[in-house]
Amino acid sequence: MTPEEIFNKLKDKFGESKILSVHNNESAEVDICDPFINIEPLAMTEVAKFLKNDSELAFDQCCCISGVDLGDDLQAVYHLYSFNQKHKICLKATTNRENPAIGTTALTWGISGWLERETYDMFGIIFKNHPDHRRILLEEDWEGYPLRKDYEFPRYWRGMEVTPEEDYGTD
Amino acid sequence: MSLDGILEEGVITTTVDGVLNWAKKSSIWPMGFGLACCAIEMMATGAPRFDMARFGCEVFRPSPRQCDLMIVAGTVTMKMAPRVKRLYEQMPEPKYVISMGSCSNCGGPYWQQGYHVLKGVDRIIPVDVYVPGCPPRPEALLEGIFKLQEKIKMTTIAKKKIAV
Amino acid sequence: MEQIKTDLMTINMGPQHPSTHGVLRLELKTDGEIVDSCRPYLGYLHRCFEKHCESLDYLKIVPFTDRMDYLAAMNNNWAFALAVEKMMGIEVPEKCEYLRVIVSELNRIASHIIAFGTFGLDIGAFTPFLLAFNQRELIFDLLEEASGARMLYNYIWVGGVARDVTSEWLKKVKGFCESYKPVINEIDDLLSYNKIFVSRAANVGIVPKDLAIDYGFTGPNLRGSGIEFDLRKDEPYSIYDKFDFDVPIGSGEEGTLGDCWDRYMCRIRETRESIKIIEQALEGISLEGDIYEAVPKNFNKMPKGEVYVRSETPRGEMGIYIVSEGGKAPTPYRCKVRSPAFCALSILEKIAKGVMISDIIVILGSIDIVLGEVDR
Ligand code: SF4
Repeated sequence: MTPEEIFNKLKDKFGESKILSVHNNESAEVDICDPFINIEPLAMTEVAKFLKNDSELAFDQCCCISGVDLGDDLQAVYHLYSFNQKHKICLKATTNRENPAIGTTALTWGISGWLERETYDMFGIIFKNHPDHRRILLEEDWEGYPLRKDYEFPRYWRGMEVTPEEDYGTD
Repeated sequence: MSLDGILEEGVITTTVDGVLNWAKKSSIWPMGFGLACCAIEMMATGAPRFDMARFGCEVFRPSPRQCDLMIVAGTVTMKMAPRVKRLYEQMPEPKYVISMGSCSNCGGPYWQQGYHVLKGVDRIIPVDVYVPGCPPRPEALLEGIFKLQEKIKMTTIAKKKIAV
Repeated sequence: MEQIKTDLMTINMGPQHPSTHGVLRLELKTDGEIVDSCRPYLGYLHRCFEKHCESLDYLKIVPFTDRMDYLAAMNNNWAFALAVEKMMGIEVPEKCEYLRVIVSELNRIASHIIAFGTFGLDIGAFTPFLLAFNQRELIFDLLEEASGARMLYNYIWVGGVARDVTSEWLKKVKGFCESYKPVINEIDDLLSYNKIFVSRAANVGIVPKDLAIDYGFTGPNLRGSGIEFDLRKDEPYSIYDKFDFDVPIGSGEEGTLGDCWDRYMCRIRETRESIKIIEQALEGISLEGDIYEAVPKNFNKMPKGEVYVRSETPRGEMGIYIVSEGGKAPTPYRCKVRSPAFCALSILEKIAKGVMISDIIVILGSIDIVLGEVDR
């Protein structure tokens, strides 16, 4: 199915308030991008379930979830693939920076659990109703979310120097 | 071992230091302890082509309590650093440390943006020999071990004279 | 008699453990020898790759991709180069494409053969390890001659390759292919059909098809579960459509479909296909032409936008997601790596329940993780 067809199918099911828009190069005003669909962040859980279980869509693998820091907003980008139908789609859920929350997809795809934990670890996006919402790469008491653009490196962590003061002239 | 003299057939004389150091240096047991890419080169050093066994250094032990030498091969991250320290403390005396690769020497390629990388393992444990390279070739690691053996040869059990 | 109540015991495996393939910690709750739950803890090798990307320009990122999956550095270089090339619309000269295929298939063999060696080591067979490293050194000699480095090559650049090769080198590669073929039989005799090995690996850690897809298995792991899917065949990138090769899949030959033995065997059989590809590439390549022709001088012409490109590394599908802000910024705005080993490892929580502790090692060895790539 083409992205437009997928979009229409989703819109018929969930309505315009949850499935926001579909984009390609021109409408997203970029030079190159895969077609993507914007989803209302908190609706992600049910949309994911539908995407997987519908026999025409049948997106059975979630390839990748990447967080992106857009400045004012945080975004999670889902790349899905269907082994059955051999088609793929990209979904985007944009949430605000102060209270970043997206519905979890961990109950739909097994792999999402870890991918979402990684996104939480790096960007601080909370995935609502995630069964095991912890950091995954960094230690629990790490402060801040390193891949946010305004992240400041800590000077010390548990007594160990993270950013040494002396500059050996690396450039 | 430095021989002081051969008296007659089968009888030689040497110093206590000499014989102890000889024993220590010819059977260094390293810890099979890999952290990152350098660990693969460490494994390659133990494998047939480079064959660390030629220098009495092949018995990789999984437990720190049976080891003399810790080869810190790879990137020490913040999360791993306390464990590295713990492992070092568990090793029995005398113990030696080789820091293999730029990462464990100083943070290596991860110096600038590596918020999760310890900038040199010598910030948490003492290091005897540094082997530079990213990754160091197996030959380089062997050279590091020779340097360590030289160092072991120079130790003494006698109390050092304190300069007044 | 009343049932005797026992408590679960917690065992920490790792981060320093000879069989965890690096620094991985598993928290096992066990009931005697039976594992009740297994919780992996990662991040002991988190080296901030994605943060580095945001401050380096595209050519400088290539060496960092080497260090992600250090057993298959060429394939990682290539995955990254593919993404940037797609973004900039670069046509890579044909000679470079052939060189890329040759070196990365060589690297694939090297990686699979390490997997075979360490898998053997994990379950107590020491000799395969020696055999594996011997073969690997032969491959490393070839790759070193081509790229100048033993393990981390920085060879496949955006738009081309770093160094040219000579016709002697091609002959040596051919010689290696010949010498490697009997080795596969040796491997089969030594380990694959070894009675002890089969009884350790077959019928253990069974991953059925739907579970494999659900938990993001890709590459040999997925094929071990009986799904014929290979990005080189199904979505051919570069010049893979020119080659004729098979995609070996697991069949439950010695046990059940999708067990550890199937995954292991897929890898061994894949090396044979890689040899086939290399031999065809050696015939097709011509040494005329400039390898730096398409290497961009700078990245000022970088378009605005994003790409997600998948390619097949020895561990499975590596996806690179790059977001770029366009011309003025020479660095990616965001670069995310979808790491195949990370995804494959996530299944451990699911299938560990009810197996023996020693089988955990077998499962871990059979999904062939590299911690550098899991944690990045
Ligand atoms: S020094 Fe280089 S090869 Fe060694 S662990 Fe660090 S990055 Fe890897």
